[in-house]
Amino acid sequence: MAQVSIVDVKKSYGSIEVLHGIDVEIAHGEFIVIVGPSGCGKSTLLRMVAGLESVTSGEISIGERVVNDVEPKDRDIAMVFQNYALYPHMSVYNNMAYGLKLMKLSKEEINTRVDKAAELLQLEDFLQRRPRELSGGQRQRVAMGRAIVRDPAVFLFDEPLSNLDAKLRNQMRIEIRKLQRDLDVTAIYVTHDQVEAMTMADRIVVLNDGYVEQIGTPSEIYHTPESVFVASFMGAPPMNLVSGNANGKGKFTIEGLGDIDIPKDYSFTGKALFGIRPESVEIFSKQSKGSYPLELELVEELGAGRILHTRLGNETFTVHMPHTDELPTNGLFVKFPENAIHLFDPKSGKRL
Amino acid sequence: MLKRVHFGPSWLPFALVAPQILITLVFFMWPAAQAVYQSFLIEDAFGLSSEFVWLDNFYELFADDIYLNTFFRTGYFSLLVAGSSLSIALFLAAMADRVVKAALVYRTLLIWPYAVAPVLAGTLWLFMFDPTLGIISYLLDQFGYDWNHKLRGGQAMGLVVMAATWKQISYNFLFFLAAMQSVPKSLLEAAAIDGAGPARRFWTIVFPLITPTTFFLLVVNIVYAFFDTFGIIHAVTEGGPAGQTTILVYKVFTDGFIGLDLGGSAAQSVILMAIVILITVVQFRYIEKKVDY
Amino acid sequence: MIENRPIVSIVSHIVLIIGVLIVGFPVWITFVAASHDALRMTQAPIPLWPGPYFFDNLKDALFVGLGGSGSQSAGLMLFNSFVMAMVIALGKISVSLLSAFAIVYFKFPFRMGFFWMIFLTLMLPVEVRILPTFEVVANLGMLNSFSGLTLPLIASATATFMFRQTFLTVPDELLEAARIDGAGPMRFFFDILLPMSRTNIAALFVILFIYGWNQYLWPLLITTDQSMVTIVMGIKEMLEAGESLQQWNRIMMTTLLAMLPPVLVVVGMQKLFVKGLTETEK
Repeated sequence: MAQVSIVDVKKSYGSIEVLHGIDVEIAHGEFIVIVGPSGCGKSTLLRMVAGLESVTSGEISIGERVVNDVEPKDRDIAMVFQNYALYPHMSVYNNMAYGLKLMKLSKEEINTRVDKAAELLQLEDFLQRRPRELSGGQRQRVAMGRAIVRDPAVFLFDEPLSNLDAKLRNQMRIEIRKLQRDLDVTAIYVTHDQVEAMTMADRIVVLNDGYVEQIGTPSEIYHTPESVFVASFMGAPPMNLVSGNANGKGKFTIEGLGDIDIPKDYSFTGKALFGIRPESVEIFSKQSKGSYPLELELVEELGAGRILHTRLGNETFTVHMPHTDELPTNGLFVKFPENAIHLFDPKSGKRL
Repeated sequence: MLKRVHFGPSWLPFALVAPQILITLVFFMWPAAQAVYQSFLIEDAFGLSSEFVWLDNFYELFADDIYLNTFFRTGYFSLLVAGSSLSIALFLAAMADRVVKAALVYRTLLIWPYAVAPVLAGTLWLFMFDPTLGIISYLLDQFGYDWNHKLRGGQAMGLVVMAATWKQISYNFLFFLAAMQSVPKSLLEAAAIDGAGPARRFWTIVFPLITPTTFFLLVVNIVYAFFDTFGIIHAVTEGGPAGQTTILVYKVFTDGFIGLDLGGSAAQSVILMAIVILITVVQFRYIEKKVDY
Repeated sequence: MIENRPIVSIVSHIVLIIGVLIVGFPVWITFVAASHDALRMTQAPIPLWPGPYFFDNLKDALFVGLGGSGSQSAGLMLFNSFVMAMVIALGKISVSLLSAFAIVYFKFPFRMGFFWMIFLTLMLPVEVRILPTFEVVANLGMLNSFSGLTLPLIASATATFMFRQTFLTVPDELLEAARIDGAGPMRFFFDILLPMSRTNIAALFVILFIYGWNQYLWPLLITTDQSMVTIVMGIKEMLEAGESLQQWNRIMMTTLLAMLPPVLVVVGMQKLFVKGLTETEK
């Protein structure tokens, strides 16, 4: 059993602190995705778990053991790198076997493990090839194979799919998920791609500027973002955020537009951000009670739907509509279903 | 410079650099420091006592016509060698660049003199120009031109320059050809469409674009002429006749090992060091920055 | 070429062939001289076409030498040259690999100091420090020994820079992957870095072998014992030995033998040679 616990972990380079006290508890067998924009510290955090970066303060444990001062090779982990980091002068077989040889395993044991991993990843025909003779997808598999043969308790992935084309990426996403489930290991997966995060994770850790913004299941993250950052980072196109004033009695005033009805249980008064996802907006071609006019600027056709770039009052506003609906030609009006409305404090960025 | 990912502190890196540092200290730094120190001393004829004389050795050198002549001779010797080997190599490389497929064959046929030791290069040319037996001197004689580099300083200098040039052509050819082949073909095609003929294309496009290589080679050739031609001179003329092919390096050697003038030889070494340092600085600072497209 | 004008190529070919012939002519004359007997080589004009004595001269040069007192056979001199060239080439490569590894992969006190110290050797070619270096070697009792011949030439800034450059292009992740696989510094060096640098090592070896083989001034100073003479300096001694009457056939045969190994290396390993020359100049 290998749970991973990260307790109040900080990282500084010289006087610059890049991670400001991270707490994450990961259960055995869980698939955790750490997502955030580049420079948010997600790779640093992963590399600290791997033992490739020192821990400035706090505690990281794998299983029951605190590993702050344990060498990477002794942490019972394996890592898949963004550029795969395959040894270019070694065959696929030797790439996978190298770590096992250093563990001083017997020849037979090494053979069995490599063959098993190769079978699992359909690499049997490539064992004698050099990495440069392989396609990107195959290299990716070898990198996975090198991790698998170590039979680790925890898999660490550092943006492993970012060098693949879109189609292969979708396919590998599913394969990695299946493998992780079949091998029953804990996985920590770092990415900047929110689609990967949403589709793969049991739970997502959203990291921004060295702080944890939110930890939750994909559904929680999507439907109840705890901060403006999470709301705008997760989802494409991102959530609409319109500034205005909440009066604490079910009204939200947007300058140049008027009042919008919001759920009465928002007691907050003062400047606030009104948020709604583009696909939660209801569209009408005629004005009716509780609807607001939109000024259409541009339509992006996606096939499965359309994205309308519009103006709501003075603010830009995007709407996603399914392809089954007709595009209104004269006049565009929207309603905001109460259960889809989010309100944020513009100062702290936190959910109200 | 340092890898972002590196190993932590331990004694290991010291052990790793130790062999090279030790050799550098014992055989490079210490002797160089000795040379500087000795250049401030005058030893008596028997080497029993020495006196600290500050810069006297240097004043003496620069007041000495023989040394000054050697200094200027070294200058024009290097310019002659660099100039002739660069222009011959440039010409041949330009020719080879037009016969794309065969260029590598010619490269093979032209690069091997690089591997010939200077002293052997000297021997080859000495043999061809031997006043009594040499094939070239014989031919010259048939045309009524009397060749005897053992007596005539000009001819001796010419012979040394020829041997030194011969050996250096291969190196220059190699770099010129590589530089020319890396000039984008699309540029030449564009110029051809603009109506530029082969010669014009060479002087207006290829030659300006290979300027960095030319400057680099110029420096390398000057260094070569200064230091690596010792063997040629030693084999062909031994600095003669009457010192008329003695260059700085050769003089350090003769004054130090044959004349046993320690202080003077050391002062000459120090001046040579200053020249090398100057050239290196030029190479690293000026050339790398200014002549880079 | 851009225009398809055969006349241009033909002219180029002719010029190049003339160039090749001129460059090759001295060696042809040498070869011819090495194939005649001593008597023929005293009569002007000397021949332009090979004679029948090539193998006789070869045998004499290899095993007898000039025949006078104090002269060595080419066989022994070739052996000395070979040992010297190998020690210099392998020595320079080893010390440079190790120090480049330390400088690129370790953070330690005086790191940059060491780097600049190695850099300075670039500015101190043996020619400018001959006398004091000779004294050091003499004081260490290394005259007339292979260590005296080679050690003072073994530090190398260019080789160190080249390996540093090579190492800097090795992705960081390889080191991280190796650490996760359980490799320590020296294991990483031998298992990953060395095999990855092997073309560079081979290219450098070609250049340094030639450099070592062609050493002249230094062996001239360090070796007084006839048994330590290298072939390159042996030629000069042969030239001096017969001041008045040269045995040109033997001298030229020995010259051929002295040229042959490095020339073969350059021509046979042209790719590596070219790579070595261009890489070390970066």
